Amino acid sequence: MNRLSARSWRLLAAIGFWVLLAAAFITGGLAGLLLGYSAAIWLAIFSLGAWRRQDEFERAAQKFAWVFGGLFGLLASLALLPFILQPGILDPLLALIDRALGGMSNPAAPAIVLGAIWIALGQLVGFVVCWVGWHVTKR
Amino acid sequence: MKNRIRELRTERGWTQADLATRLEVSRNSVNAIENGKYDPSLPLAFSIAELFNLPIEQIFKRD
Repeated sequence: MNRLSARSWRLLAAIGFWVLLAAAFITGGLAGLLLGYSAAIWLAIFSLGAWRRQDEFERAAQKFAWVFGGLFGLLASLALLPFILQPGILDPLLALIDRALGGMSNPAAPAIVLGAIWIALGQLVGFVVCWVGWHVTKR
Repeated sequence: MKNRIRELRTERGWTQADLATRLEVSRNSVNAIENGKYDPSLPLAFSIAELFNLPIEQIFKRD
């Protein structure tokens, strides 16, 4: 495991996270919740492993991407909130999340989860855009 | 910051990958430093100076 490159650790972090997250949504209920936590723990462990194996250039790229991509991704996700509030988009998303949550009694639960996912997704997209931009401009 | 890393590297017949291995950084890092797109940290600058056996100020110059 220690011989794996930073890139391999990053790849494992991303693949494992998305697989576990998808499994969490498909499974739903308590098992789904546990899978969701497992996804977060997996991501944290493998991201830390990748970080420790990266050189300073890559660390600088990721710091830049989190600061600016994370910030602008957050702002963009807020600015684009009206987009997901369209009934044709909001209703199916809420139904999907409600199913994954196992039909929790509180109707606000899917909306809260959707809001959190929307912001996290915005930050993730912002990160990727800035990370790619950094590497393109530093070539 | 300007630097003479490309010149010093080619004098020794090293590729960017060779230099990256010696410095324990990625080839992308070496490329970015050589092209003046990225200024290395002080510890990395010292490692570069030690590798080429030159004082830092003979490798890096202000723009």
